[in-house]
Amino acid sequence: MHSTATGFRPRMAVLAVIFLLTFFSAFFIGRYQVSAGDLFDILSYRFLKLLSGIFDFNLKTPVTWTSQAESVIINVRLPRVTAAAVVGAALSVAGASYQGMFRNPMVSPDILGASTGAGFGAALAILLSFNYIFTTLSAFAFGLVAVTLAWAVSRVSKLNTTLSMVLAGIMVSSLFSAGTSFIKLVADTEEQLPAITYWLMGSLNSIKSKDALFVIVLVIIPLVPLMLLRWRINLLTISEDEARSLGINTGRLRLVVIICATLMTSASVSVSGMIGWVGLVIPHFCRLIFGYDYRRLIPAAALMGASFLILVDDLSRTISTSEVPLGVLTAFIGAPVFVYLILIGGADREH
Amino acid sequence: MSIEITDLSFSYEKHQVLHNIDFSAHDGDLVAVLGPNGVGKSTLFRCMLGFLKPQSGEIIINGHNIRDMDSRAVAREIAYIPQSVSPAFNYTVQDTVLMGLTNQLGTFRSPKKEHVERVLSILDSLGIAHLRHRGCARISGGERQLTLLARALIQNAKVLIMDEPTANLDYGNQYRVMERIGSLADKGYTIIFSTHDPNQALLHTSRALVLSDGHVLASGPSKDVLTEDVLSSLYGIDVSIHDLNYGDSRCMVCTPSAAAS
Repeated sequence: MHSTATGFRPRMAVLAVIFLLTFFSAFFIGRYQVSAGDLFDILSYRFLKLLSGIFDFNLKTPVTWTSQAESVIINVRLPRVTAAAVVGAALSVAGASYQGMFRNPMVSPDILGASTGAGFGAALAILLSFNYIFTTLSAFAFGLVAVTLAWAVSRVSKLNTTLSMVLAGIMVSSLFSAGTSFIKLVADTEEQLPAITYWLMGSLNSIKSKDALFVIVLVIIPLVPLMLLRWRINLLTISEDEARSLGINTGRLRLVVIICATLMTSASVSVSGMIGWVGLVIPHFCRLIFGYDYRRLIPAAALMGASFLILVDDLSRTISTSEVPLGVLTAFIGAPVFVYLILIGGADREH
Repeated sequence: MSIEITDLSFSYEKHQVLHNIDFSAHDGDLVAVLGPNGVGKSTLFRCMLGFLKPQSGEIIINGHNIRDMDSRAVAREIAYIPQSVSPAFNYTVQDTVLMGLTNQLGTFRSPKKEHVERVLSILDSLGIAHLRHRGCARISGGERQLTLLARALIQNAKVLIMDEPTANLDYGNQYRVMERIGSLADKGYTIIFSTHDPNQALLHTSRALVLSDGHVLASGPSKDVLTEDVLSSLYGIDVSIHDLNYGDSRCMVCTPSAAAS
């Protein structure tokens, strides 16, 4: 059977519908019961209110819901579900981009040390008893520092770009994870150590509207250039000589992709903690369904990653009385799925 | 359409690879570049493609000096067809050929329907249109070589440089790929390729460039240049050249002399 170009539009539409269904159904999950009517009324009321603020018209909608319902939906579930969607999309798109850039489908978004750097930044902030916002900012900043360091080392290396970046990434990652271990060692075992450990396992438990906004902005901004350049990302997967003979300077494109993918990864990790596997498994599944072309791979990875992480977050809220960390769940789901992919021969099989 | 190389020398740090190369090729020339491994064939190609900056000498492509051209400008004049290796990512034949449009599309643009139609007509002219939705990792080496050739053709450059186009191909595919290359030369393309098979040069090409130790050992019409003496000294074995006549056709083949005894 051949994958025909015409089959992709319906598949993308199905994926978009699945995303919308997962997104809105996630609002019903949790201890406080929400009715579909309330959800629709409250979300549309808030949306219109936002518009009325911008376009300056009077809003006359009767309030038929309790303030408690509004608070749960707007202050708790909306930030959480959006953050799950954005983080899932970001990790998947970053993973897909890094994979193309390293010409290796086994690469995950933390290849250049963004996650371990962010983990160190968060641990350091918790050790220094910074508040929640500064912990997020510190995680984000150290994620960027780690990747910059790896990139700088690879620039002066005499090895070829890809190999030197992978090696520099390993070096930086292990440096920062040693730093994290040291902080855990000296941290106060009553409060700081559990906080660090919990942070590192990944969770959207304590997400606030402000964090959701922070991650949305820092993911959407780099997503725009990646979407615009997505056909050109294909050119990073062929050899540098070939790309150059086709008339493109890959150095600049590579740098743009690194910056965008790193911003997305660091922003995600800084609000959600470390969530593995998503950036590795989702792009693989997308290739299985949409083929290798980044024109389709980037939007597909965004939609599938968002839906996947919303579902995983639903699980983390429901399977036990206390929340199960997201990183633990994605590993439990990701590892068997990956074994399955290995067994069927990955996305390389003819479809 | 032409490529002219005058007095070209290139060294990697202290090691000089190319010495005073003079060479030119014009419309419709099919040129085989012969020489043992490590003789500088790839270095010469990399200079011609603008990847390497020679220390001295000039390369003029269609009247433009390559020193004054960026990679976009070079790509308009000259296309490169690498050895057919199994790719890391299993792009379809069609998607692979579309990549040849890089130079013709703005940075934020991607190929449209009319581009796909151009791909199809090129694939059709090479006889591989039926493979367009197949993954490049899953077709034969010969089919992959033709795919890369199609990618170079859609680039619209008239000079083609091919790095051992028949390496790793079986006998039938070697012949089929050389036939396609020959008919492109007949259409006016200038094609320069490297090969380790002197018989391929004798059978298919109009001209040959023989490199030895980074110097031009011989250059000119293949049948005049590829003599027993040149081939023997080039490969370090005794080589005999035989004239075969069958029907109205005549062709020359070489064999190691020892094989005849």
